[in-house]
Amino acid sequence: GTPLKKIEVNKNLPVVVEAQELIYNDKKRQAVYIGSVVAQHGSTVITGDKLIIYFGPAKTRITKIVVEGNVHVKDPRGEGWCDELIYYPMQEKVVLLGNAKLKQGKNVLIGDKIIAYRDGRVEVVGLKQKVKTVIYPQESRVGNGNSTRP
Amino acid sequence: MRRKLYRLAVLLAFLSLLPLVLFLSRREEPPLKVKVKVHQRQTIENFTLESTGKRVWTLSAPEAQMVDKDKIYLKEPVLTVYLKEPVKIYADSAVYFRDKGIVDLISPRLVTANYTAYTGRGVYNLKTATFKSLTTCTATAPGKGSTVGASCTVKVDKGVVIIKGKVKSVLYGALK
Repeated sequence: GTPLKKIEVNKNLPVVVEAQELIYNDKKRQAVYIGSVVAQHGSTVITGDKLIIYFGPAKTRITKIVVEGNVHVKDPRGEGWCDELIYYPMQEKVVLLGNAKLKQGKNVLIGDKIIAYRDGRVEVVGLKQKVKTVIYPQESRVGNGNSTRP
Repeated sequence: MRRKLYRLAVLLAFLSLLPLVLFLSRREEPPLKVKVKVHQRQTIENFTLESTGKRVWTLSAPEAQMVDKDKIYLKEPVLTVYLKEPVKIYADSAVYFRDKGIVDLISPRLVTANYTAYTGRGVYNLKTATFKSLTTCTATAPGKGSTVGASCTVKVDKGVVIIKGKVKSVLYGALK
């Protein structure tokens, strides 16, 4: 996988979600946000048409977040787009499904499925379309002049 | 002479009748027949009402007033809806509409095992076990966070809360 920068996240920070409508089902332990959804946790912001939060048995911890429709995610490392995003807090893993694209600086990853881990590892899977990765070698500065090392 | 005496007697007789005539004429006429609606403003202390149908609930209040046969004003009522986990609705005051089977609540607090919902005014339908807020609504889950919206509907027996309009949730410790 192509490494992304690792970032630290303060888990004590609240998750803030804004939308037009919320349907909370106590028995299913689900909160479904519908309409212009914006979810923020620390410096990570996710937007989409619909967001579903799945709570654990005690209804305190989030076990999974699914965002559907026009998904855009942005954090200090870069940003991503896809049709559906699934976030697993416990495994610190994000899965981008459908027209998935990740961009970090000038580097771009495109595929049907992209899995990104908090430690920076990224896997790109091509199902219907080929995986496309554009990686610009990092420019390193030696002495006075700028030299590019392959 | 006799004639004079006779006239004098007639005059005296007339004069003696005058006060009676005056008295009778001054007496107020009988009051107009006005149809006065009799208000049953009967105040009941320690009021308790229990459901009889499929839905099991009790409505109690330290003080209640019968406004009319289908309308009861309640002070500081508590509505308890008996489900697997009972749900309680407290309010500053309320009006119970017997014929419609609804309770119109002022400053209601709907308390369940997992969350509490607050609003300025709301209506609880005893038949459908549904609470609808008429003003902005806040739902909080102790230690977990809260959600605010323009209005909320709580399907008490199904454990479903629908919040609409400018919804904002703040969830704490949910990603630990």
